[in-house]
Amino acid sequence: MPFTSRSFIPRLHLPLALAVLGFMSLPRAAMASGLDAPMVGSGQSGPTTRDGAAIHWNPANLAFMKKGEFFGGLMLVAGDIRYQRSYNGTYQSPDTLQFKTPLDAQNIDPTKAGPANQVKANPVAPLGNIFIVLPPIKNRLVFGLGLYVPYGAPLKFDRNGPQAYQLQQAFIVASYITASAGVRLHDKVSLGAGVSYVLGFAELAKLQDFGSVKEFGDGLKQLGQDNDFGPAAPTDVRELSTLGRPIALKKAFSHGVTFNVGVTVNPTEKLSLALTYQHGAKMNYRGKFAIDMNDPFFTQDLAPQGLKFKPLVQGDATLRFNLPKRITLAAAYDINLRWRVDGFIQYVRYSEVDAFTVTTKSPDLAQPKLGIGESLTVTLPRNWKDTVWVEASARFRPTERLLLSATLGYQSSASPDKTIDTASPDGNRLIGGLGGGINVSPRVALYADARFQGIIPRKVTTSEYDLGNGTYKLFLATIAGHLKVRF
Amino acid sequence: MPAPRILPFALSLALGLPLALGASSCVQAIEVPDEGPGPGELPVGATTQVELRYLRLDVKNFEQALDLAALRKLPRKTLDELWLLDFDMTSSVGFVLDELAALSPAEADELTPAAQNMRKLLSMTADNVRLEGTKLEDMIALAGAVGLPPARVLAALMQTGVTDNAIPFDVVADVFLDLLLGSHPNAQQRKGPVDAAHPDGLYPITPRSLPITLGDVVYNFESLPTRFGPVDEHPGFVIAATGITKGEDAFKMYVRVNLNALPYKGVDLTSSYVASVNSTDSQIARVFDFDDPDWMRIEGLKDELEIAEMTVRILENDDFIAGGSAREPAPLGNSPAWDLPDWEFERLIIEMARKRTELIGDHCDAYELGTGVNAFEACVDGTGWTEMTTFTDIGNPPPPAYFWDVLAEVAQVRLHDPISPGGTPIPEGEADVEFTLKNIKIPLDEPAILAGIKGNLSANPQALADITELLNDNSDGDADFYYYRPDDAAADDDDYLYFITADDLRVDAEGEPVRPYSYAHPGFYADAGLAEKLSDTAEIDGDTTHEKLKVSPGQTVYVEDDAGHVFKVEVGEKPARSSLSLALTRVR
Repeated sequence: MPFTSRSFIPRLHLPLALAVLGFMSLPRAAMASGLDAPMVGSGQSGPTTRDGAAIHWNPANLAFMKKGEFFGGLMLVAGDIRYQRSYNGTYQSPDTLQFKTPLDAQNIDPTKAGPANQVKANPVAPLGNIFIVLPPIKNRLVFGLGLYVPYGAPLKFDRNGPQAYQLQQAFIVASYITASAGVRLHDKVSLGAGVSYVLGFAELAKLQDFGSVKEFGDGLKQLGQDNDFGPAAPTDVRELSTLGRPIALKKAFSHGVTFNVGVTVNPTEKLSLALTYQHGAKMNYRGKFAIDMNDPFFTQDLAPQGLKFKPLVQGDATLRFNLPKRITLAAAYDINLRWRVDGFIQYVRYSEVDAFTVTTKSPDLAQPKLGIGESLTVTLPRNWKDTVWVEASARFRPTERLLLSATLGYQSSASPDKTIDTASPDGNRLIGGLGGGINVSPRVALYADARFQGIIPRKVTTSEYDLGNGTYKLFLATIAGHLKVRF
Repeated sequence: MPAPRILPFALSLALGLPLALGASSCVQAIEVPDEGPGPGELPVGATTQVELRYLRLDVKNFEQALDLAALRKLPRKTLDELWLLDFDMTSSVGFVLDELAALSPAEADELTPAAQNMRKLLSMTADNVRLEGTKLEDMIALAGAVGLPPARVLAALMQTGVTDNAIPFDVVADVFLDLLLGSHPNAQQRKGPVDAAHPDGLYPITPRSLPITLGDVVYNFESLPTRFGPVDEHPGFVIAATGITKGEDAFKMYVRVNLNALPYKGVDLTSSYVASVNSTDSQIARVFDFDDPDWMRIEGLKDELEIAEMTVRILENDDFIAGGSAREPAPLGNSPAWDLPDWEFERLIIEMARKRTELIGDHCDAYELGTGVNAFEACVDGTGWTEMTTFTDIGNPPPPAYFWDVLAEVAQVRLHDPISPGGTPIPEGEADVEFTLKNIKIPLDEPAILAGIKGNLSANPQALADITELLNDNSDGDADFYYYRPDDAAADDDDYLYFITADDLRVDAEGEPVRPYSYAHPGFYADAGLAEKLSDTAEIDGDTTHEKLKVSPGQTVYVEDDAGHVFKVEVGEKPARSSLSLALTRVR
């Protein structure tokens, strides 16, 4: 029976709330839980489910799989992310250069007040996964190998929109290659563990506001130019067109290792309980950066004072942060042969992500007279909060070959109002999903799912330095198809 | 590294996904357009578009250091006119004369002939002079008659020992400084700021002193031979000089400036290039806060300057200059040496002799024969008049003369003695005298010097401008006009075009303009014929030198560049509040 009660049971969407990817002189990162890949495995996969995706969700469940299995699929994630910035601070005309407050009245830009034009990004990202399960010792020991992409975040906003200082474009992928093993200790208890190689890839582009770079402010002070520049710069001296330089991180790869462990207990035939722990990972993205410094202010006019960049500054960049740990408690209950309910609650230690540390290095960055060296390290405060993800699913089997499911869930927001921006358009997220599966043959089954996530429109008014104030909207739709072959 | 690139592709293929295609390129790369050459010279009728931006970077109390290398970029004139102090050379000259006289014969042989001449003069004593050919030649016979060497008689006349220096070194030094140095125009007056007390900008130099300028410090005293070389009729006296290079790294001049450090953006019509015009000159009145006691400071001048070597040469007259033979004209007599220029050796030596004579008291020396008979008498009176009288038939006495006439002749003869015994006497006119001053230490009173420099600079706008432009050398290209927005808040949104002046020309490393100011019709005109000028030099922000014109979108003006091309300049809609868009069309 393709759909045994056990194989059918668990179905809880475990979180993939990673969030991240920032970029050095990019005072912002381009990712948050709102941009996690919405599915790993099919819509029927979860911490209490016995399928190949257990490699990710709960390797303890592998131990209950009696046959080998190929489980793979494709999904298409499409999103609609909207942001209407609200200028709550005082800004000067972007083509002026008053570096110190208070602003002269004539330099205040009256157009930068209140709501700005809404910008949106409509990412479309294909994702996929492959899981292979091999039981060398039937009913005792099962191995698994999984290739999956829990994170994918393509974003493309208007390059000249009001969010350009937050983010213009981002493309973030994190792929896991996980080797797992599940051991059945007892008829009712199994343990599992997996080790994952995490390959990260990131590209980002934004306008870098040099007014927020400490070294630049310090350098100008050496010129006798008193200024308010630096990470705590007031809005009055931010977002000046001369100092807003396009910057991009390209081809940044990260290699990391992490692990997960899980335990599944079946106290009764109808009830299954699971507890999993996903360890964090140290991510260190290494790539190339480029900054367009092609403005006479930077390349020519202040050369006698020691400020002379090449028009295009290129070099190496690294982005470091820790993926958070997470712990999940799940339960599934078979009401009868047709109905089943399951759910989970996950606690994610996003508070471990307090900042992104970004370092760029290039001989072309050095401005010795201004005290600017070849390397710049920028710490970007995130100060994220721990999050909670809860989901509940109901599954109905109208026939022996057919399975239908419906899911509801909620994710709390990791980003506090102080640090949110379009690089991490997060919010309290509501989740809904519909899915189905059909046994094509005793060995082959197909699954189809649709999953939706959306945040309650989030209005932010207390963003630090008015960087991310405004209204955020996010909606993600995912459709997925999976093939399961048993052998 | 190939592995990280291959891996995502492999993964994506394994997953059947195009996802990791991002590994090739997902985010638009940053590219800077190749500026390439500008449009170049526009043909008649062609139009090009330029955008000018007006930005200010108002630096305040920006202290910047100028080391010697930086200061060398200043115009030489500025450096040479920036006076530091007058250095009294008396002790330095006295010291070198002592050293010269004290050289061993072997060391003296190493000297140049002219230096050896100087040494001969210094070492002249009653004992080593030759009296032949001088007014005292007849004294040889008289002395012999009484059984005395002539040196004894001469020494008695000078009231000194026979081996004592005929002319004390302090006398030599004083005369050298008073006459040779004192007669040089550049040791009499120096240039300085024009003020009420010095309306001609000329300042007297302390007697017996060398004026030391910032140029001496910067250029290691290399200009001394030029400054104290030939000037007008004066043949000069410094033939070589070098400074001590030690401490060069330590010298720093710090100035605090307050200015808009950004250049004005303008257009070189000839090439349609958006150029940068140094904004310093137009703000020079506000650049330095003279009320700030630290607007300038100097390091590395704390102790002393040192001239490693300075060689001084004194030229001899081509003729033997005889001593005088008469009392008149009083009080110096009738020697032609008195009429010579102050810088010639014979003039110097007769003055030295005169000063030496002042040391001789009114006296008479009587000389007797072995029989006790008074043979002759040698007297010097209070005016220096020297007279010998014979009382027996022992020969003719030398003719009477002032003692300086006598001594000057003796010195001249001594000067022409052969370099080595038995050699050929030096021909007349070839016995120039030279000596080298070494390791002249010039003690410095830094506060006083700093005060002097500040005073000089604060009253010298051009020097200030030169220094400031050196600090803020951000010219680029050769604009014909530039864009300006007044400081006045009331006129904040006014846009002006300023036609450049000669002061705006870009300068080269030597501080010289890279091109002549060759505008036949500077300013902005209403017509292509340049008949009706629209611009004027009315004062804006203190500027009264630039032809300037307030412009607004839709306005059309005509301008002629330095090549004689005339352009129509159409002001377009403003791209931003502090930007101007201009369409340039060459009309002829």
